[in-house]
Amino acid sequence: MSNEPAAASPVKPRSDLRLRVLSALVMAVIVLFATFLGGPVYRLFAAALALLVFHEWSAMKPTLPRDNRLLAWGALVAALVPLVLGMPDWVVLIAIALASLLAGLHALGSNAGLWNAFGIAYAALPALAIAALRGDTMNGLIIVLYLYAVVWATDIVAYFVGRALGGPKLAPSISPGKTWSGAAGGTVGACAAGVGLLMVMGVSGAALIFAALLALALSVVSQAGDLFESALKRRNGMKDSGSLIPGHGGVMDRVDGLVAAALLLYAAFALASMAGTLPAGLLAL
Amino acid sequence: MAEITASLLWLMNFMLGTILPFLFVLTIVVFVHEMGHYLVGRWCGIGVRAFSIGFGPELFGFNDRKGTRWKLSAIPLGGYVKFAGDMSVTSRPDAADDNLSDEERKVAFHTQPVWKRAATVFAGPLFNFLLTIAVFTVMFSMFGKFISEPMVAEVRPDSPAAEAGIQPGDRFFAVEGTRVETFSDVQRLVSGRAGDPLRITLVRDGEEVEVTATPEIVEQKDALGNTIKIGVIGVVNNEELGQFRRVEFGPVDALKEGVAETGFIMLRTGQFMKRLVMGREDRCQLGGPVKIADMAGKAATLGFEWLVQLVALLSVGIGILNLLPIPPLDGGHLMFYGLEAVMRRPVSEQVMEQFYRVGMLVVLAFMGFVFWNDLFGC
Repeated sequence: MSNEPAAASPVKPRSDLRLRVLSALVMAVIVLFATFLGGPVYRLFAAALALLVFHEWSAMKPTLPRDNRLLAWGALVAALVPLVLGMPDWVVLIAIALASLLAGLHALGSNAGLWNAFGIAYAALPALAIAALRGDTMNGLIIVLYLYAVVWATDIVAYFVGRALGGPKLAPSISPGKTWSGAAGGTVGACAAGVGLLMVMGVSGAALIFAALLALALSVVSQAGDLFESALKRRNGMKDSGSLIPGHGGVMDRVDGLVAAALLLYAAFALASMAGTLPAGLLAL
Repeated sequence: MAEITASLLWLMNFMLGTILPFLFVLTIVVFVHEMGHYLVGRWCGIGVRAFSIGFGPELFGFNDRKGTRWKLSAIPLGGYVKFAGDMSVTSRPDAADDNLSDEERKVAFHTQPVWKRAATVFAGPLFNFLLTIAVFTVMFSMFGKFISEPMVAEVRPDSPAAEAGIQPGDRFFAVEGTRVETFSDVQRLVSGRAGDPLRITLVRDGEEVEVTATPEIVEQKDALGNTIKIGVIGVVNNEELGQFRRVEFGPVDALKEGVAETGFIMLRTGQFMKRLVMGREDRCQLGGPVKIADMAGKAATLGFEWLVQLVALLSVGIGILNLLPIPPLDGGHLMFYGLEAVMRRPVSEQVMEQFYRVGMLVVLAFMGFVFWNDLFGC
């Protein structure tokens, strides 16, 4: 929710921003370190993220029957095992589908609704996406760094542009702080950051133009993911999804955009690799 | 870093070469279908809350002055129109909102007379058929049509035609009682009927001769490079006897041809589905989204008119599929409205609820089946 300026806490915006920046830096260091290492470390990181997200997801509806929540927890953990072990994508995908189906079928019997079943998919699919995109290769590292650059630039630039320019609200009924100017600025920032990173990596020509278009799509989807999460919280009467990260709220608040963008990028690569042969070792599908 | 550039170019190739044509084709078909619901719904005075291309979380959207939210949503494999008073996007009458103001109640979907609801629901598939007719009409008036006389120039040895006693020089007159004018009429009537004994009427030396031939399956490549299985009887036409030629059409005749062609495809699709259920068709001939995407990519490389033709074919397919009498589909709603009109009262909510549940499972199972077919089955 980085483009929710002063409105959220009008009393001491300056120190709030400092806290946000500090904890963002700490998080960035941790995330980048895990990303550089790749392999099992990054897969563990992805799985941990899924658990934290699901924790906050299930906490949004504390009144749901306990047995359904426990079952969903068990199913999620079981589905993350093949992910951490680095098994092929399709195995992990089937494990997640089965876990979600199990929680869903159980809910039909106990009238718990499909909340936890959706939560499993919402938490685990993006974990699969980032782990599969990263893989073990240099290529995977660059792709994931590009994804971070796009999503983080979207958040950061949208926050500052929205604060500087203001103007009409993007979705006043869902997230009152967001403005159209911030959304546009974030999208432009995302293209610049994504393209900039790839230029540093030596990419040029048509590939770079495509990377700009892709960054635009990823940025839009990441903002939609952000709004989607805000709408969920609003519907459940919460402002932050949790309080784990100082100045940021919960983990879900921090990764809502990444979740959506990672899924899109992964889907694009996965579909493409099904359609034709893919450059050595980018994705194991 | 040459490798990352190669990866990006490869992804670009796929996204622009396959995904973009696929989304183009699908979006047009979905848009026209939903536009049918929307326009006829509006003409009937029903309020529209949302018009969405795609399912799931919204990506873009705006509100018009009449309070309709127009939006593009994240999962591009469909769309919906949400009418006033609908709780879900499938217009389930049992799930209608009961806490409506009088104002809302007047324009709510479920408070309308049954004929208005039926017209609104039927308009989706109808617009799909109209789209196909429009595309074919334009195609026929632009490019005309290649035809040939229904002559037998050669009979393949040991073919069903040879066994039936069809001879070179024969002229086809009718297949199963349907008059044929051109060679492609014969192909149309034969190709979907592998394994069925067909009554074929020929003209030989000015006399009518009746024979029975049973088409056999052969594998062929279609224009998009797909392997298709069709029924043939093993006769070949040639230039001299067939007098291959192109006929051109004025606007009215092009429209007639467009309607006829659309009708043939609908009959053919219905026949295929009937035979599929009876286990007489190869399930691999049934393509899901992945196969359609693949075809869209191939059509796009052949040229824009091929892509438009794919739009026409997909539009008929989606129209027919939606008319199946399974509840969450348009045909399922129409079935209940038909019962309501006959019984003069709505079907009970409990019965409806059960049908919706079972129907939903059937639709999901069918989707799973075509996906499986696409990915692993064939």
